[in-house]
Amino acid sequence: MIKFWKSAAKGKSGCPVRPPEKTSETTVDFNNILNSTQFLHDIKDSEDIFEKKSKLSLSLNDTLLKRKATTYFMQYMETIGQHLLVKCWLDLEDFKSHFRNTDNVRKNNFVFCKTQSCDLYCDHSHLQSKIERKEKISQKANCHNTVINTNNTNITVLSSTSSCGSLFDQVVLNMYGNNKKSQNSTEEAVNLFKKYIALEAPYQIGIPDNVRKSVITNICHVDGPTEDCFKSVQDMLFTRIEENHFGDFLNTPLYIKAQIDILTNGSLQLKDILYNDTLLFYFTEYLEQESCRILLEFLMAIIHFRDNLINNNNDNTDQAQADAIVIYEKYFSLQATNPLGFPTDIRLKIESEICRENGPQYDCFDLPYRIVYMTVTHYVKTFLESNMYYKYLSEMIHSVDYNMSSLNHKSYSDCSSEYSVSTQNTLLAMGDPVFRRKKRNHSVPDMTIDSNQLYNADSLWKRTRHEGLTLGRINSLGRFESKFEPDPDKKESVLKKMVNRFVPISTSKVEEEMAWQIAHMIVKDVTDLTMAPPDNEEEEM
Amino acid sequence: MALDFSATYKLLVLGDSNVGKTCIVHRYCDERYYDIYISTIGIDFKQKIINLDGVPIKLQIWDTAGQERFRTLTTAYYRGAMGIILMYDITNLESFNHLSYWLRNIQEYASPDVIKVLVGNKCDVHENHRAVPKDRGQKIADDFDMPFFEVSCKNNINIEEAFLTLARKIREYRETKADAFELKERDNVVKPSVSETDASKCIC
Repeated sequence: MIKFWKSAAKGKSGCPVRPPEKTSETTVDFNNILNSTQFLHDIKDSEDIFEKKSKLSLSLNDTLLKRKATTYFMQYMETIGQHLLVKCWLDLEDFKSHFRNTDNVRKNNFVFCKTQSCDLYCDHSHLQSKIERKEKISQKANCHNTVINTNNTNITVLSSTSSCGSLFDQVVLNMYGNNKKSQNSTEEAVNLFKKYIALEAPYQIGIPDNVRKSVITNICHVDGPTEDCFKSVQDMLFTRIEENHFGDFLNTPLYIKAQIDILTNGSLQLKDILYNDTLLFYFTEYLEQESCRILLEFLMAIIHFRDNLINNNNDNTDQAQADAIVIYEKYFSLQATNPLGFPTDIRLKIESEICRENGPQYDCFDLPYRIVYMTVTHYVKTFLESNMYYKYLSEMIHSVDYNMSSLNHKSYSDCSSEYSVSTQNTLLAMGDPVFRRKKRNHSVPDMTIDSNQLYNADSLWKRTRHEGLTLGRINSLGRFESKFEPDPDKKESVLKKMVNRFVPISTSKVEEEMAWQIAHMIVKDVTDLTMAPPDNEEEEM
Repeated sequence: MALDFSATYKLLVLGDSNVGKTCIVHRYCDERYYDIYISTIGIDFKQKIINLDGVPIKLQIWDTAGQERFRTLTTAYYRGAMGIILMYDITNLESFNHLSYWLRNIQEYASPDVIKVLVGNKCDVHENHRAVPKDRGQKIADDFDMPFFEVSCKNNINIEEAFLTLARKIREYRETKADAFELKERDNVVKPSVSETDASKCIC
């Protein structure tokens, strides 16, 4: 093995070696982590750490099947008038789940019933008599009089009931219920067909004839409709939504709102950060501040090393070995350029993994990866409470406002225009002073009032003022001055200004109005002079 | 205590394997030059704080692997990039011919408003070893509206200029975008739409 490393150092195996550089990064002491019982517990529960999925990067599958951000997507589809596609898909999916839930008991050959004292074995004749008795009851109750053939049925019963009788009642009910269930599912399937798929359906979603025919065949099956009788329709809708609409939805403020919901529900994990480029950008910044960015670099290197080997099925062993040595030289060796401070036993284990006869396997760095992953997970907790994260969140919220205001006079379908801001770029350089200066908050002021404020004197004066909502002001003398009544010093009121601005009035009308006002003024002056009583009369009075 | 930066720009370095992507990043961020080839496993990142006309800007530079086996993995990092350094090796004609592939990738995976700079590395070599004339690089850059630089990591030629130009272009773009947005908003206030005019006529 020493021989191998010496040859590697000379560059014989294509191993890249470079002089160690002094790094400002602080090495992490993994001994404490390795010894902690919490870590051992975490290691066992960390099987999903290699799952390449972020909650923040939603696919159409997540949106429709897992019902994540479905309301936002539905809202978007409504704005572009395509919500029926989603509604139909969801209704058909609900049909499938109902079908699964009401799956009949005919498949079960055995029903188990455990008594408090012993396991009862109920023979065939006993069961037959119970069924006959049940038939008589059902006839009296005008129920379906269905004959059930139980000649080949052999049922062992185990249940928590103390008597065997009530158990058989349940068994028979289940057996009788089968027909009803299949009838219900047929009705439901027909209703869905009439609603969306039929030629004269009230909700037309553009189903081709060949798909319609296949659905009819599935519904009219001898054994009744199957769980997948609408599969062709669902597949067609899924493809149509994915190709024509989902990509556009990902560029709308509604998608950012969906992400904000995920970010604020407190369930964010490291993998959600690693596989979302925007959040990864901020997390990298945070780890840089904490002098631990090297840990993230290591995780990324191992992720790419694994993926590369898995994708290429470990074909090129020399290449795999060269890659493994690059990682070893950078993070593990005693002359490592970015030492992570792993204990000797882990380092030796990695060396032996790299020197395997058939080359290193994709999982050769899994143990150190898990250790670092758990370490970085602790940083995730502090990151979620950091100013950096709150900055990211606030910028997400601002970008929603920014995008919404740029869509003010447009539908969402037009959001790819030059004025619609790329959310990724908005977020990443929101701190730009130019951007901050130019940006305006054009969102509608929040009109909601917390009822607690009304009874709390302190909170009343702390409320945020909305300039657009004031009707007037209290002047220094304590007198209310209305914004809508003309001030003696001003020529016209705010209301009149607004009316003049938005309602074009012809100039002739204005002149006519002015003439009337002047005439009225002259008449008033004349009447004041002529109708006024003489001075002496006033004195007498 | 962390410095308060006015902005952080995310930059991506793309190009064929062995054109000098890691070298240019190391030279610019660490001011070191390594003569030995070290293949990048997937992606690496470095940070550099620059003074752009008196304003401190932090550049987060993502150095990608150029090898074909990593290309599908690295496309995941294109989306949030605000600027891209697209590199080729002037001594390797194939790396220049592959620029069309990288430009296609940028168009497909990166943000539509990403700023690009074309960089031809290893300009320190003797003219006998040059495989790509400077004017060919300039023509590609002009066709795709990119600034163009021939650089040398070995002799530290034009590297700072390339990165500063990219950062400046990003800032300029953001300014024009913000101006356009403000202008549009002003238009919306001054010229109300027909629906607003109609609404004002209603008797409430």
